[in-house]
Amino acid sequence: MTPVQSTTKYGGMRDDYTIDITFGSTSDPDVSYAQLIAFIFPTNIDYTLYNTDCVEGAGSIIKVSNCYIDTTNRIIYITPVVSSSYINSNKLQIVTRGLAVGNPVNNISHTNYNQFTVKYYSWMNITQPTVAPLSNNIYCFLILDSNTVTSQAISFSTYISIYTTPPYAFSYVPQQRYYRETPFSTILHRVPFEFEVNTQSLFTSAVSGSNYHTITVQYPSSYSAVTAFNLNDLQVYRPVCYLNNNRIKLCTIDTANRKVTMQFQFALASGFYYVMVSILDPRNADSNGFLYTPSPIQSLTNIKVYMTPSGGATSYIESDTFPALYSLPSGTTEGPFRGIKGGSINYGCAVTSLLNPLHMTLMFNRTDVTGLVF
Amino acid sequence: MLIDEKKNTLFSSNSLTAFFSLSDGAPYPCSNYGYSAGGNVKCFLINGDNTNRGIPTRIFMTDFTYVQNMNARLLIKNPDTAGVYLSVKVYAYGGTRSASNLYGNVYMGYWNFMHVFKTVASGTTASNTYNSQPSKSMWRDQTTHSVYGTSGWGNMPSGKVSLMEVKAYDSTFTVISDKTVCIPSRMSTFDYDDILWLNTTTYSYAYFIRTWPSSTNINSSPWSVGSVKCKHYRYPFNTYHYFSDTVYEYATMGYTNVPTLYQGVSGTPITLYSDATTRVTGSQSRTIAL
Repeated sequence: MTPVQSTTKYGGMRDDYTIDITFGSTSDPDVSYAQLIAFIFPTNIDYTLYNTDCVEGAGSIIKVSNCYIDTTNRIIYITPVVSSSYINSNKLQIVTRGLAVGNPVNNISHTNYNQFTVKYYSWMNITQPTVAPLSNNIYCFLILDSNTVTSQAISFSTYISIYTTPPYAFSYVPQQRYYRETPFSTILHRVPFEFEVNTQSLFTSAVSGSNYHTITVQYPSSYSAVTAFNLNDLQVYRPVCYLNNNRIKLCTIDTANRKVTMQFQFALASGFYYVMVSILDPRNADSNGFLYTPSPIQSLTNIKVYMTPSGGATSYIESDTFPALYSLPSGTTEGPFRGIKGGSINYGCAVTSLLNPLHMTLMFNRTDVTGLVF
Repeated sequence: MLIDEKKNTLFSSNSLTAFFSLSDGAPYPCSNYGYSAGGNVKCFLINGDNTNRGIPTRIFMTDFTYVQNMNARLLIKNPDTAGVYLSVKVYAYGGTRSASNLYGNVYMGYWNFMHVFKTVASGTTASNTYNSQPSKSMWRDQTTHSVYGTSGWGNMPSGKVSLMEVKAYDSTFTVISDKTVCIPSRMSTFDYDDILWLNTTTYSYAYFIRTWPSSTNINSSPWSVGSVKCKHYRYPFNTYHYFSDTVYEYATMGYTNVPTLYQGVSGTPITLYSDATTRVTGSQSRTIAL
């Protein structure tokens, strides 16, 4: 079993797996008879199956006509193409889809391969009979189990102690509860980074003396900040940090590594807190934040947050991607441009849990809109 | 959609349950056809969750033809929490469409339908067992249905919505040709009539939807829906008339004893009437030439 999406197999994490099944012996029953193969997850290891889809892997010699995951009974049913040309040493490979497999949460130390059971089925009628791999071996002519499979193990790393914000797998819609919705920064207009972050229980104790808790916000290379300088007694392009609506006095910026760091000593109960970092120019109140320098035109970006309790280990969170820039129909990068200039909506009713058709009319301000996300 | 900006929970279950128990990535009932924007509009649901860490539920709409004023219809189930405000945020995308960017890869604009309505725990409702008459036998082509309102409830205000649910596909039937129960199609050319499709694992539903363009008394001028051609009658048609935020009418159009040649796998035997009359429950009935 090889994970598809990640290199480190964390306990409890969802992933897809490439599963290779090769039956090497030539003297045992001929697997070319197999009309159905059941791959059964071990009953005593807490794998969770989330999705029903799986497909033939690119490395499979045996062609797969159908593959289905029974998430309740934790069985992968593989219907191979029945062909007399298949020999026992031919590899069968399938790949699960849609992050189908949840790694064990409790039994993460190892799972021996021989704890998985593989059953080969064949029958004489044209209609597939009902098989019950968990309770009996009717129609089963071959079982690969602890007697036949080597006990090489698959193991999982301990899950990390802080939650990362789930990534957007498909769209690049900003996390509505973490980011201000509009305007986004542009090449003309500076904006601060504002978001909420779950500090877990990192900062539950207050510290004193020369000890500080630290939160660092790292912005992407597509954003630029100007290094602070003094103009007589005026500090220009001064970094400012807010945490839980408190102005944090110890706020520094490292423009080379694109990091804004705030240090504080007070305690924060576990939970979500508002964070805002910006750069201010006291000569110009409109200059509040970071400037976007897009490359290419498409403007998806994200930020990283490092949180270090005084004397403790650093935890790391990466935000979802969010769009930074509107683009004009001409394809050039320009300032804010509202693609939707207006809208109206009506609906059926306001009663809870009732079917309700929403009827929206959207007025566009440009001709190249191809998709909407609600 | 599951949680508002103040982190009030709108839907107590996660989005897959809240949105018709669809799978993550499943097609979602939507349309733009009713307002003459062309194309073959498609929608997909991406699962969100209702925790504080959660990501919002998103519905993607793509494959429509651009018009400056575009209509978009979505069918939702209202939040199951009373006293909360539903907001719908719309993001417009354009640019290059590809297999991985079905709606384009360039972000183009944003609109927030903020606080569209505030949910109420229960409404004033009337229900009856029938309120519809088919124009001819259910199994014939182009059968339309005249959907009436209940007496005293019949004045449908302009801009309000009627909805009829038809179960079109039933995967539990064992005979493949029986799985398609009804074939709904859109006969009306009015902009305000539409069919939205909802495909669950077991069933497909067609929702006929009309946004009433002007105030209409649906007791005397019924909603003409159709057509719906059904091979064998198995399921009632459910109709909602939404008169206002809190007043609605729910009606189940229960045809029984409809002569058909084949009723399906689990139904009780049916009676063919000698006068070959389609019986409609309730006091109304129509004699139909077979």
